[in-house]
Amino acid sequence: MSTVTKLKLPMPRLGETMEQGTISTWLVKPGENFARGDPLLELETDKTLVEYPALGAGKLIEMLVGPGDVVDVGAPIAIIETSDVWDGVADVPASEEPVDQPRSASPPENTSNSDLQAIAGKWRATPLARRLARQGGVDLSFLEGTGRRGRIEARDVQSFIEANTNPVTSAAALTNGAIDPGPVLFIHGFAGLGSNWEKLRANMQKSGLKAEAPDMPGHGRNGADANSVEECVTWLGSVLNEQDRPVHLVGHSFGAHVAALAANRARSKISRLTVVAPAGCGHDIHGDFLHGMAHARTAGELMHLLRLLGSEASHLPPDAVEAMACELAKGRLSPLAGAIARGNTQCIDTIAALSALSENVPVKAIFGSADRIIPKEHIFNMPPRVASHIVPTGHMPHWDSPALLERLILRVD
Amino acid sequence: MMAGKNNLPAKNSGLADLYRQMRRVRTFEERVGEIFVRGKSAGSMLHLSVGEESAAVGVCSNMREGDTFTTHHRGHGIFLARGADPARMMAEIAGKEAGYCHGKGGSMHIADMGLGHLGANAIVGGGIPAVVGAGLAARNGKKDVVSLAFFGDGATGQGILYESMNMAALWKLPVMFVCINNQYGMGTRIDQATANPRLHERAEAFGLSARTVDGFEVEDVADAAAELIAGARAGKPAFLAIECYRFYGHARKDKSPYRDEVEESEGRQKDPVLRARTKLIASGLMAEADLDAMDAEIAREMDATIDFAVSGSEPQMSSMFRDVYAPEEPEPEPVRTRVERILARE
Amino acid sequence: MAMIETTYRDALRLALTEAMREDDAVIIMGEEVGRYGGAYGVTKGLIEEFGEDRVIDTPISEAAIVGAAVGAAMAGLRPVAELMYVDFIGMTMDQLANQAAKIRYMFGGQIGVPMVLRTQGGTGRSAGAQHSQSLEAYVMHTPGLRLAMPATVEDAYHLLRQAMKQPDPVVFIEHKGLYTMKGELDTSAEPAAWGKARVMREGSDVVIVSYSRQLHHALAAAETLEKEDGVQAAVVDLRTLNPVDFSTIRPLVERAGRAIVVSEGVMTAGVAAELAARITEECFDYLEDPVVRVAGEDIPISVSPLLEKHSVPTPEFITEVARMMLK
Repeated sequence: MSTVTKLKLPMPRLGETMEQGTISTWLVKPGENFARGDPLLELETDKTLVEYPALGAGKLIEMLVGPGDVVDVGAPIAIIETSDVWDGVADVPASEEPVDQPRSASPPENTSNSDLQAIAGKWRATPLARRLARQGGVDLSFLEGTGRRGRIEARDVQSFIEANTNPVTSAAALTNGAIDPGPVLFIHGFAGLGSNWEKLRANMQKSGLKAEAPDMPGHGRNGADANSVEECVTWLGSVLNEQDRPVHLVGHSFGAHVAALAANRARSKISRLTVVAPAGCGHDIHGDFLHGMAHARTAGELMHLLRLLGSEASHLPPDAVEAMACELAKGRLSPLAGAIARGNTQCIDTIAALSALSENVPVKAIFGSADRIIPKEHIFNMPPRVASHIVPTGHMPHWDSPALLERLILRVD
Repeated sequence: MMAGKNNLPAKNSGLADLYRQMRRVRTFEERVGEIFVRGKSAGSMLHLSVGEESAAVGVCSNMREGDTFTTHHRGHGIFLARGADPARMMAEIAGKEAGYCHGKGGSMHIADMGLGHLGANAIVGGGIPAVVGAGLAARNGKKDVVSLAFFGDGATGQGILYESMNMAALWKLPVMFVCINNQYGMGTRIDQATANPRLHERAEAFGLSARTVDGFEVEDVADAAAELIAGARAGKPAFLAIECYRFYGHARKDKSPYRDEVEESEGRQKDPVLRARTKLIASGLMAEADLDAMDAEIAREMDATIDFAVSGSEPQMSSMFRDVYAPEEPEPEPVRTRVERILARE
Repeated sequence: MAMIETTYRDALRLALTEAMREDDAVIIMGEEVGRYGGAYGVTKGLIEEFGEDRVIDTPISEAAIVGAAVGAAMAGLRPVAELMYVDFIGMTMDQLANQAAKIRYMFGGQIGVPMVLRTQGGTGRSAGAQHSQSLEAYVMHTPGLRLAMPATVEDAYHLLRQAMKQPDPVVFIEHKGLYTMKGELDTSAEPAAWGKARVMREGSDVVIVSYSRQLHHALAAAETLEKEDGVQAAVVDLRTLNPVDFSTIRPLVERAGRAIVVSEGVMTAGVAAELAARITEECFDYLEDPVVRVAGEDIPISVSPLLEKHSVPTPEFITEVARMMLK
């Protein structure tokens, strides 16, 4: 005689999608015996009314639920006594589906600058061109496309690669004309860094040109403080003194003012001057930006200010923004900000220096048509001998259109 | 009184053997219901032929080796009656590798070419025209075989049945169309699905030899089938409608909400298996104790099929791409392989 | 054997005749195939040679024709069923897609369905919207069904003979505009093996991939491009859409960097879409232009000859597209 055991009968799963059932009618009473196959109760699923049969002979001891009760699959509905084996009574099967990996919320890493440009801007290069560029180590942002809608095609990459084997001719190829092979010295703007010029500087270096971009006093790795404009100009003067050949001086924004003044005092050290989105060329400036930068404490504040610079600036990686904010929170630039502008009014003048310099030295000015810091209208204040260009960028043309900037900087007009 | 090899009924089998076959079908189907309730069947589409055993057994007892057939989705009993191994059937129903179709067909696409089962079909009427083709092959190859299509009353709404009957009659093919009329196509009673529920009349209209028989008495079914199948072998294609009552709802163990209590309980009284058992005892052909012993042995046999099915292994993942085409042909490329190739870094 | 001058239609008939002589199991069944000789004359004369047990005129019952062919194939015959117009394929879809295509798989590899369903489609006869379609996409989208579409006289013979030897069901779609096309046929020389595409013309400026009647439009466009523009266009005849021979297409596209897929079926969700996606995925790094599809307009076909002509690709339009791409 086999042993009699008490079992808790669970609510069966009678359909793949069944999660619950409603008890309809018990067909046996407590104390009543049943045979294998006898229906024990009727229950309702969302689809139909179903009988649940006994899987072995036994006796109902106790009903745990009653008519009308809604019961989850697997929950106990009765206690029975049986000497048969009632195995595998519809337990809730373990899900065999692999757990979905949570989607990563952060943007893909390794998105190169050129990819960002492609995302942010128009479609730029064919798949074939991209592959050739990848294999040849060419930064696509330096190419101008000759294909449909201005896109870069394979032949554009191939000519660039060929031309690159000879540094001088490569730069000439880029500029379609005579170039100035002399060293370039880049001066960044207020609250910026020498590394703002990195794209241009590195590409020029690759073409065999010497190019440097130091940090101004009060900025980056330059430990000296800059409490006045004069201190910056003096610093640049001493940098120029160390040059063994005349340099092509390129200054941006406030750096353009510093460059113009320093160049004026050391004309023999200069082969040419290019000012990019120059400060001091008109009455207005975006004062909130200037003073905001000088007093920024958090990455959040900084992001809002950076967005004023243009599309590329808002794509800076978060850790770079964080680093900048830390630097600015030190407050080294406060005095300088006050020297440059009071409210929205510029306190410095670059025009006089440009006018004087352009008598002997080629001077070029580049303004961004969408510049929100320095109004593009300041182009009308340029002295007649300064060759002036408008480019379709914001306040950072060397970020927004590096290829174009490089060409304008290098070309001898 | 014992069956011939492969569980096929011996020739001139009497009522006892018909009863034994029906009891095997009944018990098997009850176990199928159990395996469903236990959550061990593959999928939730299971159609039990409880109450229709006389149709399967009565007709199949007149088939010979070499004959072929197709079934509908309620065809377990027919397959068993033709000699199928219930353990392999149960394994297939459970979607296991050891099943007749290696777990790929399940209850509704079960088949065995060796026993002449050209396949169960989940499409109502889907398996009917195949027997016309089999009939053409028999005719052209001068083979003395018949081909039977089993389907339910629901299929009488499908045009393909009439196209097929027309062709069979036109070409005098050795085929028979067997309609197991359990009065319901899914939830719709036959008199709500057609104005003329005397189904054999339509077959007669096409030129087939046709009869309707009450499935309550398995011997009546067997006699009708014997006559019609013999005629089909001689080039007179036939149609047989068998009236039964389906004991459960459309699928598994539904208690049909669309049939009222009275109809249900009356229907359940027309149990052909019980009827045969009662007759055997009443006529003194078999003692009750012997019948009990027979039933118990069958119960043991069918219990074992559950263990076989439950303990069987799942099909291998690699079998997923097999048998789309012939074995000598390349298998379709998995999506993963293709994507990995396309996105590979150089 | 010798080279013969024949037509696409006669080449089909020759293939059927020889196959039926070699194997008693080969039967033909369909509407008007026997006494009438086939709606397009392909089976003319066959009932006289092989008798009505092997060339079977059926009632107008497309579903049962295909269904019976399925059963006959399972029972040991090698049926070649005929569907008079591919436009009627809808009546047969259960037997084709749910039965023929799936029997081997559902039944665990126990048996195959070695049948051929011959049919024809395409524009050119002002036959109207219900008799002019190109529905090969329905078949290509059904795993288990092989799909062959002969473009040349040679393939009318060889591709059909190859199809009749396949162990799996083949849908064989002829083009009504090609039946009278003349060409040379060498019955002993296969132009290509079953499942292999054929490069009809070499070229490294652009690759045009096509099949069936549009292959000839593509070849005409390639001629024009060479003569008038000095452009070298490669042209590929796919011959079969299941299996698709991608290995022949790939090196050509990698070299040219540009591809055009030409198909008479409608643009949306069609064969050209599948091929273009495939080429783009597999040859992405070599592409200078998107893979462009030149396919049928997403409209029913008109009876008006002028509208009908321009509802599907023309040689002139294919030429124009290539020029737009290469400009």
